[in-house]
Amino acid sequence: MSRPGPALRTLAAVPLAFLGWFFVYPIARISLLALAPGGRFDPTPFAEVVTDPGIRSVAFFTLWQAVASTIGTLVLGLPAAYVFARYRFPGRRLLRALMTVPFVLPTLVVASAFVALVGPGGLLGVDLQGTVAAILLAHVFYNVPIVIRGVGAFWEQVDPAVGDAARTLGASPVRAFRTVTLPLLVPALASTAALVFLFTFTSFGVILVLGGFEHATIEVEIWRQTVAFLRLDVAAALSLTQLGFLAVVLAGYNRLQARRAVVLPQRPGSRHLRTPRGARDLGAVAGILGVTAAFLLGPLVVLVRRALLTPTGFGLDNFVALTERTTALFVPPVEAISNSLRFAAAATVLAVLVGVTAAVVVARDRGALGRGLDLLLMLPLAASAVTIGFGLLVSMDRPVDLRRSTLLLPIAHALVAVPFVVRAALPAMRAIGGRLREAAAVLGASPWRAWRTVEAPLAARALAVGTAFAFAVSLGEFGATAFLARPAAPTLPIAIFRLLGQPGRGTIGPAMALSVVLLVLTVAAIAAIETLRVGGDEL
Amino acid sequence: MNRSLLPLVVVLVAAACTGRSPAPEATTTPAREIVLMTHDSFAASDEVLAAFEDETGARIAILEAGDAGTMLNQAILTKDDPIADVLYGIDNTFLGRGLAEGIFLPYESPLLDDVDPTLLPTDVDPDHRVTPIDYGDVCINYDATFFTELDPPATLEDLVEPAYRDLLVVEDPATSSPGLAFLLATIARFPEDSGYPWTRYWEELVANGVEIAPDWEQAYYGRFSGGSGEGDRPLVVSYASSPVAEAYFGELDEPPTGVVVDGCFRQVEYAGILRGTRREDLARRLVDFLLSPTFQEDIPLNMFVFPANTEAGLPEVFVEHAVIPGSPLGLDPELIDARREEWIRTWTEIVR
Amino acid sequence: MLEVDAVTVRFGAATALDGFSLRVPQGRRVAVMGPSGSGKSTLLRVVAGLQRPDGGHVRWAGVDVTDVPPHRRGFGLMFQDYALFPHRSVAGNVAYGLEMAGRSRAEIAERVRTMLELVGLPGAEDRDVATLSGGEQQRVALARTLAPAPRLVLLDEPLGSLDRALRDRLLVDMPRIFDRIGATVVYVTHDREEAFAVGDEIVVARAGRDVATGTPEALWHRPPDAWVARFIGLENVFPITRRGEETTTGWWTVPRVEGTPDATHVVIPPEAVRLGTGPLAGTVADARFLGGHYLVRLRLDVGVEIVADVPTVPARGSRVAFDIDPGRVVLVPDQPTSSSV
Repeated sequence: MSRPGPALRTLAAVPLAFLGWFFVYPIARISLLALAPGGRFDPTPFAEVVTDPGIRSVAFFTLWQAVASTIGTLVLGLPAAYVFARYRFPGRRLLRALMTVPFVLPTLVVASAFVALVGPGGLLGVDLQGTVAAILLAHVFYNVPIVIRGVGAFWEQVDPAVGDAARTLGASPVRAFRTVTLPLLVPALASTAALVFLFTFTSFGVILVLGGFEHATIEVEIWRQTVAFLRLDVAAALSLTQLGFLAVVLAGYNRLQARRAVVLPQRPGSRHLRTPRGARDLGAVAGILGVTAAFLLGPLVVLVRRALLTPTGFGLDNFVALTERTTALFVPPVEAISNSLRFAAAATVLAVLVGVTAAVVVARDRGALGRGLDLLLMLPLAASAVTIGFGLLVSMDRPVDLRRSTLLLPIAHALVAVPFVVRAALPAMRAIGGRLREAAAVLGASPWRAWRTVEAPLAARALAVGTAFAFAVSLGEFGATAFLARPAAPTLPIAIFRLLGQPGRGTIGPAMALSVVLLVLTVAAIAAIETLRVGGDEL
Repeated sequence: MNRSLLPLVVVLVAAACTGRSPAPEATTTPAREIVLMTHDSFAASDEVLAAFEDETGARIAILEAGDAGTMLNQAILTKDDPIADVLYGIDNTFLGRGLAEGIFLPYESPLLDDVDPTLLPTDVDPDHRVTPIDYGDVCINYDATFFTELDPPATLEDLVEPAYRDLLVVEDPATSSPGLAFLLATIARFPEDSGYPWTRYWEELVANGVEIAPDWEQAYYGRFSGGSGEGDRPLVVSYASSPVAEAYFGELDEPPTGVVVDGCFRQVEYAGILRGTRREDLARRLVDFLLSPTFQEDIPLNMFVFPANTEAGLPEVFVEHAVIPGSPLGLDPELIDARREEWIRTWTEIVR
Repeated sequence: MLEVDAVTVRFGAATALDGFSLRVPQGRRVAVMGPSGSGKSTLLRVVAGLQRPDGGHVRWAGVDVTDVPPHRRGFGLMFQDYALFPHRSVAGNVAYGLEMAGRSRAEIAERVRTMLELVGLPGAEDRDVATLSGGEQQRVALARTLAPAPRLVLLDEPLGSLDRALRDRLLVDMPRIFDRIGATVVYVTHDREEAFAVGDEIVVARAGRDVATGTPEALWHRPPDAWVARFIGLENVFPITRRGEETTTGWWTVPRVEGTPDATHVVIPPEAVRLGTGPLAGTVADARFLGGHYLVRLRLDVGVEIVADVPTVPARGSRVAFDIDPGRVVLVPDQPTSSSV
């Protein structure tokens, strides 16, 4: 490949400028705040992060809950992943799609669902709010879908004949699994575990709602240091420390992903599927699916139930109450719906603009520009949402004061969404202009017809998937929003958080109702992605 | 494909349709509304708030912004573009920070003459950037039903005696305002440079089995055995007015709990006009209103603290049961602001 | 001796095996031949113990092994596409069964070396299986299957995905290897040539049933029905009609009626067609040189084509007279029955 042409360089300016201004620059300001709080180099904030016993216990808790959540997620997810990878049964596609739902839910909806389930006055009758158990349950709930989809898809590609071969060579079922199937699954297991670890390590909304005062992740601590203690330098040092740690984990994840791609020849998975036969087989499949589905769908059912529950039975009172102003929230909660939709629309435009131009550059340029941009685009993933929000909060005063701009939230949301949009658009952008166009030409299509019949539909689909992704991400974004939302214009997650944070004031019901609204909006956006997505390229 | 796009289209159209003018930011609200930023514990009677509207034609929009510390920090973080006109609820433990950040405009209310002069932070705030609105004392409360044979502790020193082992529950000063007040009380009582510094006192409290709760709700309702508490510890850090609330809500002749009048820390809550407000006149009228007998007399039974205005009458239940410690402890707000984090960190190391 | 006795396997509404029976005496090789979907692979999975039958039995040396799990049967199965372990080296693959049997390390190394030599891959121990060519993978899979010296060797389309030259070579090599170790073999394929080359005996499978059993020669010369005849490559299968005493294809009167009265077709082996003289005539439509002899396709005036296996070739388009050796034709019914030859 030759060096990028001027058109491509101009195009690259869009994502580079966006990321430079709204990501690199804030990170630089955070670094300055952490390393030179008084204008001169001064490692005190870092020293405090390292030596403060409170922060050390936060770091320790963050780590161990992430490890425990990851293990729990794998333990609960693997049996279902196995069933989906190996069995054919009626409603398989639908059930798998339903079981994916928890992963795409906004954290605040997950938190609400668990408050409804195991919170004070919850359906299960035990109040686990504020306990590690509630946190771990919510994390496992949230991430099991990754295992089902990620490991399951990989497992489906592992030819069952390999395991059968081990059996006919004298290996017992357990030994065949241990010596053949498990080693083959290791790359998928490891990369999935890394992803789950990453997500639970940076857990914010779930911890804030379910963790009570005792349990804080580094994310929560950054927020707390900022809003409760106004220790911006300590928050900055924490952000940087976490960013470094996550970058290492993400690098490891990328290497595992790369390795995972070469180990197995790609094979159409569905031809390995078999129908459960016999009482034992049927019992196991039904049991595993039943338990997993109950765990993954139960809390959502409970959430809807709680939203409809009124002191006098079931009804829509909680939804009606959304139009009323309460002390918990500055505006009637219903306004949060229109706020969220407006912010999400703006964020989607931004994210698609930046993401698609970036995808074009990455797809077209195999040189330093494309590769560098590809890497840069993934960085906001390593930086937690809280760091992004915090960064924008401390940096957007200069050179232009954007802190009072209504665009600040969409910008933050777009930053979080851009990596997803790029991943969604990249395959189509790679296909465009390449072999597909040649294939169409060989089949007799003129360039214009080739574009219209082959490339335009592909591009449109990628665009639509990216749009839906960005929209869903923006709707549910909480970590960055917590720093940037203004009380007069709360988003849905912010409103839910405020309403949930006022127990005993009759705001729990409306919080649940608002969560249901957010749930429905998100599921609609995700359903659009699922129906649009060609093939099963997994996260 | 067209049909599968439908949900997305619906959502986007809905978004577009709701894309009306931005939600009312405080500074762009119509002149007939004034935003009062306060903490989550704020409470007032509707008819009292309505009185301001009758009087001025402007409605008070209450913006609860978390606990006292979080509320103040939010005001500081948004000081270039304030989200409210008046802030109410900053207390003497946070006053230093608020003043240092320069978020308040000076205003000397004519009603200041009626305010108990000991509540005025004259040393640190000579130009009246904040106005005292209420005060309360953080004191040890005891479960009267427990102390029948054993006397309740009379002083802070008693708490480290073996007789009171495993009886006290306090709040974490990092996350609780009464917890911080109690820590400050011990610092005021046992100065660092004395022969018996507060750090030593706390070491002995820990040795005597003090329990730490994250916040007041969990300490009082969860761990305390007296009154509406459901725990098993007969001593708790609470407010001097807590027994009044027990009597009032329990409709009792005598409160089931009592107050140890020694070692109380006085919390004074102030209001201030936020710099950057576009309705300074109305904001001043709101401060006057907060200090007026109408609002002041509504304070005790809503927030269970005492009105700063000496002209305001007290409800009967307060007159009957309220304990006002004679010589509460206090510390210089600027000193508190300078040392708060350090004290909390030292405390954390001692109790962990 | 392996005995498969009326095995039935159903997948939901579909029946993969429908009372399939099979016998393989010790040291013999049986090729199971059938089109795709005939249940061949399922049969092997049942014999190996990977698939539990809904009915019927599998016996080895008179002992019912139907309920014995695969790892206790001591049968070796070589999979279609080989199913090599991608995370193990060549030696790791070949050694797997030996490890499961608990052999010593030295013993394993020696055995792996011997097996790789046997399959013609000496010294390939440390290679990564991903770098092997198709033929090499096939040999490694064979070595892996044979290494633990299984009592019975099962092979599922073992040459299916190889190119022709390689396939031809392995078709010579494999039977030799089996001979050297005296293996008892069930060889599943859809390919007649493979089946004839490897099998001492052929079992034809159709729709889950064993529809014909016999030596290659017996099947060729005495196919049990028209379907089997066509399936094993006999192209000259013509419907017959009976008019009184006469049995005719419409263009040729079958002189000698042999076989059951329900015969509906006549099968004429290509070597039974003699060119040069005779009452019949056709135009040469096509001639294929098969090295030493020719397969000539004649088009008759009535439109049908007949194939002749002859030592010399007439010019294409020329008209030739021909005769049919009545002693070598067979009259058969149309549909398969489960009767054997």
